[in-house]
Amino acid sequence: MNWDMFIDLLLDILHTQTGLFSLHYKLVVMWGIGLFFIYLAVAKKYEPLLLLPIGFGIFIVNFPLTPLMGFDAHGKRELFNIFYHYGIEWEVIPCLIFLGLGAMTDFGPLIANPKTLVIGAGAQLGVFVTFIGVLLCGFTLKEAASVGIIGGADGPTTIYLTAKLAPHLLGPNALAAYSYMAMVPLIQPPIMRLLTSKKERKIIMKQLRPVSKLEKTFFPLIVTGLIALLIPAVTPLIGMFMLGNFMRESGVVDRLAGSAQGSLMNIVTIFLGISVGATMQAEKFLTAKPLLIFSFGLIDFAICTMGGILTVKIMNLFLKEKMNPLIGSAGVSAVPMAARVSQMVGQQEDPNNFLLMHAIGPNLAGVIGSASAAGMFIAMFG
Amino acid sequence: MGLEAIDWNYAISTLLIRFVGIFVVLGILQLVMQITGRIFAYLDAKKDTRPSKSLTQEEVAAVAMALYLDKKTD
Repeated sequence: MNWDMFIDLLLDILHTQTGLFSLHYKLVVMWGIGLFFIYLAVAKKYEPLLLLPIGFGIFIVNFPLTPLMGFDAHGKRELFNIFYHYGIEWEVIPCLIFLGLGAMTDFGPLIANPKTLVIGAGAQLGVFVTFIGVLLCGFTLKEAASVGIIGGADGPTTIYLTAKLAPHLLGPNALAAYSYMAMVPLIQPPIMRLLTSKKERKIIMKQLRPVSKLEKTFFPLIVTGLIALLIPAVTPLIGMFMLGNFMRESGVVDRLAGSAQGSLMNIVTIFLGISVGATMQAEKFLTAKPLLIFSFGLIDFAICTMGGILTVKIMNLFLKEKMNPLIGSAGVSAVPMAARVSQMVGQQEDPNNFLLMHAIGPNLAGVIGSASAAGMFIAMFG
Repeated sequence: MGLEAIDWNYAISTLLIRFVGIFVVLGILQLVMQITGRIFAYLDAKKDTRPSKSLTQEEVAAVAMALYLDKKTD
């Protein structure tokens, strides 16, 4: 072998078997985005359970020639593509996450004050307003629906709907939803203060009645029956949510409830984060659409927050016992962060006002409300 | 899809119906929860008013004595 042949061989190896010569500035930009989300997760602790695997997924799939999100020479799916295909495309992961969430959730505050269910509906205002705004920007009907649901502040619902209607927007939609959910303490308080008077923020609500174990056990069965009857399109999500809750409240399958909210939840969260991050490859992500999605996501969140607060104010016109409008902002879902924000803003006005348990009601109603909105969109376009 | 290709009448009206639809669905759920809440509250109240197992004279005396002694040592 002479020297020229050796150099040719070396160059050929470097070209075809390493990523060195396939690097591109777009890939470097995506590394920056991936590392930014890793930074938010690790240093700022913003939704670390999801932003960490998502950030790492973005980082790793944007290296050239990595056999992760494509197909091999024999047409078989590569590692992350397998997670994505069976987890997201088959809609398994969002439903399993809902199962775990159901097993974690105590619906007591919502059962004790069912009026707060209406707040969960009012807080979906942004979902529909954003839908129109996004349509005006040239998105398709299905894309607009998937972007609109971001304001519901419910990660699994956003992923479920986007995977069904606009799978190519999965990365930016999921990322916008989880990023803004993490930023609820920054986004909501100014809107809450703007829309409420000092007097309203000081309203002290009556203590919630105790809810019996039997009532809590019946609740998931009632919700499942009603939702399956009225919005069958969203039964996979709500059905799994209520199954998890029924396992918890029945008290006879503690092991199953423990697994659903513990190990199973952790396992699917890893696959969810990786799969979402892996969809964000440079050539698909670096377009104008993700930027628009992030902008509309923020507007969506703001309008949903306003919708919840205004719903409480309208309800107060007819109620004898007034509700504190600050609990309306919790209707955007984002459990339990949004409820904590209601408590925090309420206590800034009156340190003796404890709104947390009152805000959990609309918070949980928001989960059912955003799933219902998703069901409506699936029925329209699915 | 261009903006002109969208049937805006359809988009807006179906959207409005579905937004109201969410209120209707959650409103029905609220109504059902209120009715079942009352039923459960009634059942609980009924359970509470059932006479509890009455204590014997000796047990009452023992409890009274214990309370008395407890007060005395304070």
